[in-house]
Amino acid sequence: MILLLTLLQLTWLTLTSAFLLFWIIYLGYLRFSRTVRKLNKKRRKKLRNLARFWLRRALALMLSNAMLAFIIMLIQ
Amino acid sequence: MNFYLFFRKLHLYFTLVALVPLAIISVTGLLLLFEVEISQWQTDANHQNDDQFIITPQSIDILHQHIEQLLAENPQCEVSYIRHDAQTESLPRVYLSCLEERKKFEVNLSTNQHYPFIKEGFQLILDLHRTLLLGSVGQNIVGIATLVVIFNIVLGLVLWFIRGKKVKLDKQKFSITLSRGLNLRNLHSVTALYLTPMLLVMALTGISWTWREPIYQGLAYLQNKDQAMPAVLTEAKSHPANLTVIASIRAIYNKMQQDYPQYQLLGLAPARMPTDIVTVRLREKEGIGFTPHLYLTLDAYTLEEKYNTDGWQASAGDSIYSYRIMQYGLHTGFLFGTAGKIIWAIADVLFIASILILGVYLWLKRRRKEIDSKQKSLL
Repeated sequence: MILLLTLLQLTWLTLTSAFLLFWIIYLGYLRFSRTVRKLNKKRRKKLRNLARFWLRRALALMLSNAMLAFIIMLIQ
Repeated sequence: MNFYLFFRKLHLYFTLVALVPLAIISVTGLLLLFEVEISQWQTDANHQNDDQFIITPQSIDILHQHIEQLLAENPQCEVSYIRHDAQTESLPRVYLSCLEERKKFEVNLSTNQHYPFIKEGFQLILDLHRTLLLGSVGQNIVGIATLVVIFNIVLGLVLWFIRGKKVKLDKQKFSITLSRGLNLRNLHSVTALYLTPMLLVMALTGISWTWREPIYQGLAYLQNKDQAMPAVLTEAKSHPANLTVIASIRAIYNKMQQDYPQYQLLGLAPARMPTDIVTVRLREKEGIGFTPHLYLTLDAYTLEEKYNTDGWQASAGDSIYSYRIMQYGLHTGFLFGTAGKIIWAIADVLFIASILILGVYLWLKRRRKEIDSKQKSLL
C-alpha cells in the first residue's frame, strides 16, 4: 500500500512537473518568438489565453502534489 | 505556431536528441530480461543450472564447504555477499572482497564444483544499459534519455487529448484502425498510450537507479522524513564489549531456516567492519516473484533481529525503503515472476517498434511530403 502510494507520488510529481514545464516553455515561446510577434494582435491574444488557461490547470495539478504529500504525512 | 504544432516539434526534437541512447537502453534492457535463458543456452554443460534442483539443508552444507574452500584458496579475502537467484537455484554466487579487488565465484550445487564467475558478454550489455560504456558521463546521459521518455509521454498525452480548451475523448482515439484500415499514426499513439503506465514505472525506477541519492532525498523531503533509510541501517555501529565473535554464515542460514521456513534466502551480506549488522534478503517460496521483498537486518554477534521490512506490507515509516527494496523488481518486471518478465519484454519490444522506429518513420514520411509539396509549389 505505502509502496504504491510512494510510486504514485513520484509518478504524479514527475508528470505534473513536466506538464507545467511545457506550458511555461510555450508561454516563453509566445512571448519571445519573432513568428508570433508577426501575428495580428487578436490571434496573439488567443494563443496566449489558451496557454494561460492550461498553465492555470497545470498549477492546480501541481497543488494536488501537496495534497498527496499531506495524505502521506497523515498516514505516518 | 499554436501549441499543438509547437509541442509536436518539441516531441520530435526531444526524441531525436535521445534516440541513440534510448535505442541502446531499450535493446540492452530486452537482452538483460532474458540474461538467464541466453547465458544458460550459451554455457557448457558443467556450468548449467539444474531446473529440477531444490535447495535443501544438505545443499546448503555443500555450499558452506565450497565457501570454506574458496576462503582457503583466497587467504586475504572475506565473503562480502552470497546471492541465490530464484531462476537458477542450483547456481549460487559467492562474492569475495579481497585487499585489492573483488572476486566472484559460482558454485554449481548439482555438480559440486565452483569456478570464477565471468559474465563476459552480459557484463558489456549491462554496462551499456547503465552507462553506455562512458562511465559517470554515460550514466547521466542514460538518466537524461530516460527523462526524455517521461517528457515525451507527457507531450504525447497533451497532443493526443487536448484540443483547444477541451480534453477530447472519443472512441476513435483509442482505436488503432480507422474506417479505411490500419492507421500508422494511431498505432504509434495508441500503443504509447496503453504502454504509458509500464513505461513510467520502468523509467522512474530506472532514474531512481541512476540518480539514487538525490531522488531518495527528494522523496524524504516530500514525505517530511529526516532520512530515506531507516535509522538502524545508517547509524554508527558500536562493538559490544562482551561479544567478540561474529556469527558464522552457517549460523545465519540455520536461523533463517528456523525463523522463516516459508521464505527462500536470495541474498546475504555478512557483517564487515566497521558495521556489525548482517542483511538478509528473502522471498516467499510460494510467491511468483524472482526478487526479494523481505529485508532483514540482524545483529552480527547475536543474530537478533534488529529490523525487518517487507516491501509489500511496509509501514508508512518505511515508505522510501520499501520503494528501494522493490525498485529492481519493478524495473525488470521480475517482481511478478515469469508473467512480469514476459509482459515487460513485450512492452520493451513495442516501445522499440511502435514508438521509436514507427515514430521516426512517421516523421520521415511527413518530412518527405513537406519537401515534395514545397517543390511542387516552386514548380
